[in-house]
Amino acid sequence: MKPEDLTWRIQDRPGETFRVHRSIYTDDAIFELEMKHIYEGGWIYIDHATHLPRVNDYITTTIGRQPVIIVRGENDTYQGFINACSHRGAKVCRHANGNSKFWTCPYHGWVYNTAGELQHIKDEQNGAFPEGYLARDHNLTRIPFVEAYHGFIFASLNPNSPSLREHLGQTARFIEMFNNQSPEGLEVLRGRSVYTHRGNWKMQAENGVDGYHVDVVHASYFKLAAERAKKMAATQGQDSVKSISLNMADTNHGNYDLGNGHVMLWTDIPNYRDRALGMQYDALEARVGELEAKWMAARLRQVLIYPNLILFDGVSTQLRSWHPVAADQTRVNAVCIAPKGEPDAARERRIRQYEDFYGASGIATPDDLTEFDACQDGYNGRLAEWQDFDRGMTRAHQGPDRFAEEIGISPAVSAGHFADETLYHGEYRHWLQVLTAGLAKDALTEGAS
Amino acid sequence: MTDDGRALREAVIELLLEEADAIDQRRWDDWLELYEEDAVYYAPAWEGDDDLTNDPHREISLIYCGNRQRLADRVWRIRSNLSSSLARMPRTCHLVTNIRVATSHRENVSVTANFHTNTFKHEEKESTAFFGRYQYQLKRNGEKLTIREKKIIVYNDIIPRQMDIFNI
Repeated sequence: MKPEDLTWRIQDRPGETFRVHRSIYTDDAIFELEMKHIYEGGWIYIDHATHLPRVNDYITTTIGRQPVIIVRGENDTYQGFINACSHRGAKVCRHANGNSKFWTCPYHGWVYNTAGELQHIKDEQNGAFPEGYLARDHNLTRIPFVEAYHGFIFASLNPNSPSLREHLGQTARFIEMFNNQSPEGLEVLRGRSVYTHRGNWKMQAENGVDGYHVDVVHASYFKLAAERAKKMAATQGQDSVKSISLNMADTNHGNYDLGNGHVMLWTDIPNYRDRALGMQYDALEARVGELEAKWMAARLRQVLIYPNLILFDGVSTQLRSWHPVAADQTRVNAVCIAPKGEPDAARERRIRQYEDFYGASGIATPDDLTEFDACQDGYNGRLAEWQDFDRGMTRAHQGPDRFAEEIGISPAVSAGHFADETLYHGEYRHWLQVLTAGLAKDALTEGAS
Repeated sequence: MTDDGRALREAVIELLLEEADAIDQRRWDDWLELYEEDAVYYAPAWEGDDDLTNDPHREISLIYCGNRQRLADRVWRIRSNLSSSLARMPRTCHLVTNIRVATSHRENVSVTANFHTNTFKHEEKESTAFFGRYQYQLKRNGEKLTIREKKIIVYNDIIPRQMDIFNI
């Protein structure tokens, strides 16, 4: 594939249309390119530091298609290795997580330390290896970058990546806001939710910041919440969930293109004092000030950190990340994240609101997944080639709006409507830029060889 | 086994099979009737291979309903016609086996069982299954048994699109 085989698939005509060719969701060659140049070619979210609290704590996961071990070192540093023995390539570390000073490959017993250095070759003296064999590098292959920002661990397999801080760009403001819920920082709660669906991974990156679908796809959720509140008011019973409500007619809302593919969506929450952090609103305001408290507790924020993480802070608080498995297969990891030291009543509220909405066992997420799968089915209708993201085009604001200015961020594009689709232009411009740059680089490499 | 023990065992088996049938046949009101009003329905989430969460007030559960009304909420949603994931209700078939009365003391009866729930999804044109273990706390009131607590430990917790009260 050449850059020009991709560029025609994104038609970007400001003021007229922004449309994408649906093959980007179905084409296996494009999926391979995405794995190579997006997932294995740049910064990827790995996990939260909650899961690696001590030195020599490790997790195993994948970056793109590549199996990796991520391990915590001294002084809050992290390093990572391709999880393949230098001998025959067997996965050295088979556990999902653990703590160890050494990893012994279960196949032929080679031993590595957590710096990835080969420490022991079984029966080395008797090995009759060729001359110079032992002097060769038999260490685990090191991942170029593993780094954390406020406990959010990212890694890149590309030695030419920009710094993590540069990659995060304007999302850093929102990560800090998220992290500041407690002066003690955040902790991921125990209890995982892993689910799969038959849709392309880019629908995860779209839908988590899509305001347009909310009242349609989640009609059963919002109607149920309203029924529950009404019934409880009538009987003076205890509503054990207190779901959050949204009201687009009478509140402020919008979304931003933050650059580097990162985008975010926000809206005011009418009953924000029913939120876990809202229950302590006055104390929060005293600690962080009026403006910051409003953004942190009274304003829903859903921030896509491209390409594989969304911070959700609204219905409850969730970290959702995903692993693309194939063009039409995605595996999602969702966890609840909460401020450390949270009062019991607020913690329970957060948990009940989380379970109600999120996860494939909740009463909202399965409806999203059903729509992704339905889109994937629709994309097989090859005669219907194109779709646009034109909603909001004539009212999108270039640069920051007054809400962005009040928190000191400079989005490339600001939308004053929750349901506008102009933020996707940022996602797909970045997507195209990364893939075409990758293809150009591949062409040079092939030319040279 | 005493006559009373045998009668209890029969009643327990009947209750568990009635619950499975009520769900599979979508007799939702009959299903809800099996639960006490303050019954707890609890499907804990896993944290690791052998690490199951056990505190629904501090940890995330797959499903936690602290009373029957929360179960009724899920039934309401199934009946609402507002959810696209439920627009074509999957066919389900619960196989409930290995039923044992663990302890029985006055009105409190503790029961364990295994389950294998097959789900046929119309959109996917394929079948999936969840399997695992049930732990019941039942209330015995004369001849009648009701559910005080049902804990559902799902062994295969990677969820294809949807898990709800009808397919575990």
